[in-house]
Amino acid sequence: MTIILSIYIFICIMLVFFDILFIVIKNNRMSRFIPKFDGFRKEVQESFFNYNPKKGLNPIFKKKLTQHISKVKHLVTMQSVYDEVELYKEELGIELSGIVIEFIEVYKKKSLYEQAYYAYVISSYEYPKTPRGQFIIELMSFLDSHSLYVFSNTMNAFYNFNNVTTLLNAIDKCNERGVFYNSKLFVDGLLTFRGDKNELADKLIERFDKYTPYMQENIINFLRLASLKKSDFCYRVLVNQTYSEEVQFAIMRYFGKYPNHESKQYFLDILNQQESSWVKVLLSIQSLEKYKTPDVFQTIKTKITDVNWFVRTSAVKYLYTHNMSKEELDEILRMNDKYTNEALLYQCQDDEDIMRYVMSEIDKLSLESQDMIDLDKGDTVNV
Amino acid sequence: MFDFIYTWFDVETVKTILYYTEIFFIVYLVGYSTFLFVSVVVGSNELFENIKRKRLRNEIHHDFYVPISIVVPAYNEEVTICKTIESLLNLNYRLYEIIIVSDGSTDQTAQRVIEQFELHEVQRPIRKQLACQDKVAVYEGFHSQVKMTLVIKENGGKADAINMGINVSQFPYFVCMDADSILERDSLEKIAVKVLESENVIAVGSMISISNDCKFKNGQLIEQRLPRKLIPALQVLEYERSFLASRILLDKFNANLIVSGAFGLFKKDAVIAVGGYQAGSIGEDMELIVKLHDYHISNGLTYYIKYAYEAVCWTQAPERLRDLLKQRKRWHIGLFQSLISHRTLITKASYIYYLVYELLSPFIELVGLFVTFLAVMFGLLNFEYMLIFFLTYALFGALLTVISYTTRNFLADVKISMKDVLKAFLLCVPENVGMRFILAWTRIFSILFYRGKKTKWGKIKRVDIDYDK
Repeated sequence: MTIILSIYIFICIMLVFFDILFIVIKNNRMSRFIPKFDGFRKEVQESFFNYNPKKGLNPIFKKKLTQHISKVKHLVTMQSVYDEVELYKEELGIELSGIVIEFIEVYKKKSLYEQAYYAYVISSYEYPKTPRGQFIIELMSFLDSHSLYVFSNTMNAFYNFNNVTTLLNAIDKCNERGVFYNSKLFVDGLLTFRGDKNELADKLIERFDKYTPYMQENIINFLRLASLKKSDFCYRVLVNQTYSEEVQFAIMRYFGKYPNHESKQYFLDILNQQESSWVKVLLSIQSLEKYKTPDVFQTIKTKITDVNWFVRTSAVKYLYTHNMSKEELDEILRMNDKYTNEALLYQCQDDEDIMRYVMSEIDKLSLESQDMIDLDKGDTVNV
Repeated sequence: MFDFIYTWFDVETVKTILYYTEIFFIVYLVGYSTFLFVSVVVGSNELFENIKRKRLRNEIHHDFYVPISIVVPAYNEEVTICKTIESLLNLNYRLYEIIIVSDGSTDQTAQRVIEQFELHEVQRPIRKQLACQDKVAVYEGFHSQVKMTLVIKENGGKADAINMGINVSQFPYFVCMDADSILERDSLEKIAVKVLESENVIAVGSMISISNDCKFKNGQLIEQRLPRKLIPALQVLEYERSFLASRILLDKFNANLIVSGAFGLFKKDAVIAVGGYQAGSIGEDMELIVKLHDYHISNGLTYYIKYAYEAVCWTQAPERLRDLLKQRKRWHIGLFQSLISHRTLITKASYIYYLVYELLSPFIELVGLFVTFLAVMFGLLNFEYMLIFFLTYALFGALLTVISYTTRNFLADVKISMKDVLKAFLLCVPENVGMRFILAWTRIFSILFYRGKKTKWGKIKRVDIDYDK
């Protein structure tokens, strides 16, 4: 037992010792990535803060820069000083980008953290002319990385290049790999694209069928959020049942924002079909929100007692916001549907007169129905 | 007095019991020590890596994260509720709503919220996707462009109140938090990043820190220090060890079984799919997480439950021993309920860890005490041996606690005074020996006197912490 105890004590001491040693070593290794306020930083500050776009960077300093930035801590130093620059930042960025892109081979061989940082630096500059050739091929290979950060910083660089063809190639690659971690990253990324969004949209539409349903859905969301009017294309997708349901839903949301006549009929048909799914019915009601025609009004009215809570409340909301008449209001109240009444009360709460009227009618009708129940009960007793 | 012992056991039997018990405890403690050690190493490593990641821009920065509904269930929280809401209104986040659910409070909780934030009553229909008690009234209003909803409902317990909050929420993700907690300004952003990193994230836990005696300005921390009082100070050390160490390690294996009820983010669809919080459950937060694991594993779904240690929530720790014991009793019963009702997870390593080192540990310690007593009765106890063993165990745990405390604060760039470091050194032993011992007994009694379901809220004496000074 003494041996076991000794082993236990030994293990505990070693574990604590290892723990402390580990923390000390880790802390020392951090210095590899943390730039110090050294001579190099001073030189960078001097050059960047006194930058003159007509003269450009001093060739001697430029040479020194190229000697240093293969080490990530110097790249961090350079970038942090660049972030502080206020005067001629754009011009300086253009000149720096020309230097930094030469280091892609070096950084490709480094750790994932360093690759991600390199991609971040690349994404931070302005590019009047998109980089081409080997650099783009190498940068494209960063998209194969299994690091989310390498991937996402590289995509940010592609959005920033303002070149449709390059971005499309990157998107194709993502499509093949089937990665995008979160659709929000993709859609929001497309929205930050600095080039011609309309041209990008046209090219994406051309290749639409090549993409996975996930990408297709996001492309439609991009069209909607970027306010790009592509109704003809969207309608073609809407009526083509071979596209996935999620893509169809995205299209329906698109038409909610940009209604057109053809889609209106399509949505009315969905509302008139008994077998339509509740999501489609709901989206149809929301997509028809901007129409105030009798046919739409009457069709949506049939949905106020739908079994689905969302459909019912959306239908009531539509009717209320489209100024239904007093007769129509009474007609709804006479249905004596608790949930419809609840939805109606919520809609009209900003209008005190209507609210008071609706509440009094509901009370009146519920009293009447209570009388009916009592009458029924009485009958039962008598029998 | 204990002569009957001699009729039950003879010397040889006691020797055999002692022999096997010693072996068991060596294995048990080496297992626990190794777990603690690995946890602290992995936790520290993660914090170092995180600094590196941030410095090298390995992070997702976004202007618009996912929209979030913040659900604050409250029962008789008139002392703290308004300050909590004020801190929520100061969050650095673009799109969120605040939902306060007053669960049949008998004090002025609802009235204070209505008056201070000028809410007005609405006839709002609520779709009950999750079962809960009926609403009594709903109030709404806007503050700093943030929509606020107050639901006054019939009393049904904390789980029931959160379910109501989920029913009322309009966004796809919701945060559940305690009414006496304060979120750091960037905490929503830090917790939401995890969702952007993968669409399969269904829940995210956070770092819970103890606010007692810390200084705040406009709801934000300006000075962190160890509480003056012993009970909350011991809890700080305990929290630091548990959050830095075990949670980060378990996170690596998607094995966290707890997302604290004080602050956690959830995907609404996933929570609705498992039926929401279990009304009647005492540890509703743990029960939900265990249920989410169970549901996703049994249906073969890809999912992640993440731990965002940079998303910090400040909460009040009980200052009185009585309150602490009450709180731990609830937690242990919660753990018991969750583990018992999801036994199918027994093959998961984290389940075994929680079962052996959390649920059963007080009983195992009790067995240890009993065997020690037997050994004393039969004159078989080697005091020197026992003392060395006990001291080794206590010092090892204590040292790891101090390492966790200092490492986390050092790497999180939190300024802690030398006085606090010394205090941590002094308190780590009593935390590991004294508090652990007292809590072990509480946990034993909580299980022994467990009488089925309860829906009452745990009540701890609240202190009016001034988050503006």
